[in-house]
Amino acid sequence: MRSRAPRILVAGAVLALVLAGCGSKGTQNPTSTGDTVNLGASMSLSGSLEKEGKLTQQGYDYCVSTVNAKGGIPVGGRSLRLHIDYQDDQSQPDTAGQLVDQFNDKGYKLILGPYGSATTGAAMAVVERNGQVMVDSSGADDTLFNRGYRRTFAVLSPASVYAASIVDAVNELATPKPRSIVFLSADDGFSKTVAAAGEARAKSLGLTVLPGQQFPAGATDVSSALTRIKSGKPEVIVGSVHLAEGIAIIKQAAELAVTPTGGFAETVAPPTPDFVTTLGTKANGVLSSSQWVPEVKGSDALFGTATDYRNGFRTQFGQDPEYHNAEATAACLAMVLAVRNAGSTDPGKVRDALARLDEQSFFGALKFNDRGENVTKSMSVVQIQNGKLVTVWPADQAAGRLIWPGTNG
Amino acid sequence: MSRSAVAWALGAAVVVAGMVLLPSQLYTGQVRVVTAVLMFVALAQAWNIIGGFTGYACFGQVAFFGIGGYATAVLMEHANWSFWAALPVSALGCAAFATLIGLPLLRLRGHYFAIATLGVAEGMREVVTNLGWLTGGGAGITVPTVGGRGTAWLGNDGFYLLFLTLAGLAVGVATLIARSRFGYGLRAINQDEDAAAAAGVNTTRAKVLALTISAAITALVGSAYAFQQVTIYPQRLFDVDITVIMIVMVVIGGAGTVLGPIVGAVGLQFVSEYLRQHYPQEHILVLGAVIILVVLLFPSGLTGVAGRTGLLDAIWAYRL
Repeated sequence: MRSRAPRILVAGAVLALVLAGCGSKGTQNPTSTGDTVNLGASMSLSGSLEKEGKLTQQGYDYCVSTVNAKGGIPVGGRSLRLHIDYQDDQSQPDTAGQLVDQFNDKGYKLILGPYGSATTGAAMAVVERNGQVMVDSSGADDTLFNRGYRRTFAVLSPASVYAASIVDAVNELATPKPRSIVFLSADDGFSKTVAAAGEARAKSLGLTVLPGQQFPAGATDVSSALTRIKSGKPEVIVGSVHLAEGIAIIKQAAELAVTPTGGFAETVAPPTPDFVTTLGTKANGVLSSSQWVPEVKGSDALFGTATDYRNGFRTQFGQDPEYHNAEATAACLAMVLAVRNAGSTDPGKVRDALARLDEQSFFGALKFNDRGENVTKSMSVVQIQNGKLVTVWPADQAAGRLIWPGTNG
Repeated sequence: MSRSAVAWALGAAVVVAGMVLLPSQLYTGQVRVVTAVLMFVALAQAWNIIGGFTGYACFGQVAFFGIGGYATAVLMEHANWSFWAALPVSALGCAAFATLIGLPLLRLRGHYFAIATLGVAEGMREVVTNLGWLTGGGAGITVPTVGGRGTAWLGNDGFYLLFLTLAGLAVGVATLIARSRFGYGLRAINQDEDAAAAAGVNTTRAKVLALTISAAITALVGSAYAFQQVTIYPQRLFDVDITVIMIVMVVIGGAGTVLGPIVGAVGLQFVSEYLRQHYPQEHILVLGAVIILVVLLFPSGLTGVAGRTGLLDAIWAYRL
């Protein structure tokens, strides 16, 4: 016993020293190293949001290759190359927050947003605390912007516009005009915000809003919600959902013979290719809103028009971009423009440049209100016609006419 | 006081002093990494009490983590409690819950117990998700930390100290159990429950008490985690991955020892963090391969190997 005790003491002391020594503060890579601007991005490279995370990463990568191919970012008479350092947050908000802290340790003050509202919310809090700056590409929940943060700017339209734009499109284009509407919603924060704003918009337009239903996010059985709304005979059924619930609504409505005389509309799910693949012809006629379509007006010096963006993206990745790709590229573009306008990578100056940003782009307008939301950009409304997404609203972007009622397809 | 006891006390004091002073040497992100390590030391140690010492593989341990977190969030948000009041009450409530479910569930053994506890965790997630008026449902619940309500957020260094305290508490409780008559009873149950009963161990009481202590520690960690994250969601608070990580840490380190879960939690978290930072695309695959290799090469855990090779024979001598 006597011989072992000192060994434990020594082991404890060594452990303490090792732990204390492993973190000794040294020189870290700053945001700008030599001729490179380093951006940090916590991303869902695995976990439940991996698919959307990788689409977002593609959008960021396309931005990097395009900016560098065009000579980099002009800053103070020099051209700086763009680099994004990705870390996998495994689709977990707590990990996203931790990774943004680690970027700050490395001296990365400029951050591109993760995928999704929950991870973005966690990252926003850390960005604010550390004096970093973030451009959000996909966190759309309006409640994120009620927290008083001043260092995050979102290029995408907020959640409150998703269903409201569909209501506007139906009200403007549908003949005969529907008189009643009902909202089915997943119970995550984003979907609830979308549904509440859609209901408010419908009421303001004089539509009868029937009592809505909620189900758990990710639910694949929504039959009880459909059964409850059936007796009200709604003319339009709007699903405030993601992919799994969106597919379930269309599939189970057909099984339960819940057929609105006007049509179905859903957020988020229909533009995802899996929606049409899974539902086949049942997907035809379904309306949705989209953050970006190739018919968006506006252009910028780096990516050109929305059509140019689609063509360039297709050349690099061998597939057409969807809106997750485009909103990521737009977030990166906003950061690049802010660094250029600030003439510096100093986070304070870049933040002020973002607050002042007022530019047109392939993604539409990039201009933020004092909460950091891009409220000048509109959302487009698309309809699935013969298995393809066709932009039907607003009129200046329409590539086809709204087919109404949408339930005859 | 014997020389060895003095040496132990000095060694412990040096380790504690080193750990308390550590944040001053670290960047914020590094503090968060070490905080996460400490959280998993506490969680792994808590699982070790029921899974390692007693041999009852509880696959629903995350239920206690989630209950602790949600109890704290609900008490702070709806009843305006301070975090410091909600923390122990959440743990006590969860301990009571564990006692109630332990009485029927601990009659099951082996795979049946594992699956039943897994069912409890999945069921609790659904309950929390469907009590939207109380828990916020899938949209999550936000702990009040600003505007004069609730308790002010502790900051990264504050949470480091909180999780350090909880890790210390978990290790302390496990040490006491390991060296007590109660701990020997648990080990006896692990090896042969019928023989333990024949030898005079009140197996039902011992098993339920082990689950209750384990649940209370896990709930304390869940409570602190909820306060640290501010906004919590049922998907994360009842994520089966958290249970799996606890079990892997205990198995890698050495089940049924006090040092094993510490070695497992520290080793796995640091390896995981290193891989994530250096191989963002492939880190999960590589980590999986590392875990398989360690389990194949060292079936009794890293501390088991160290003990047998004489590197740390004190582990065995002190029954740690």
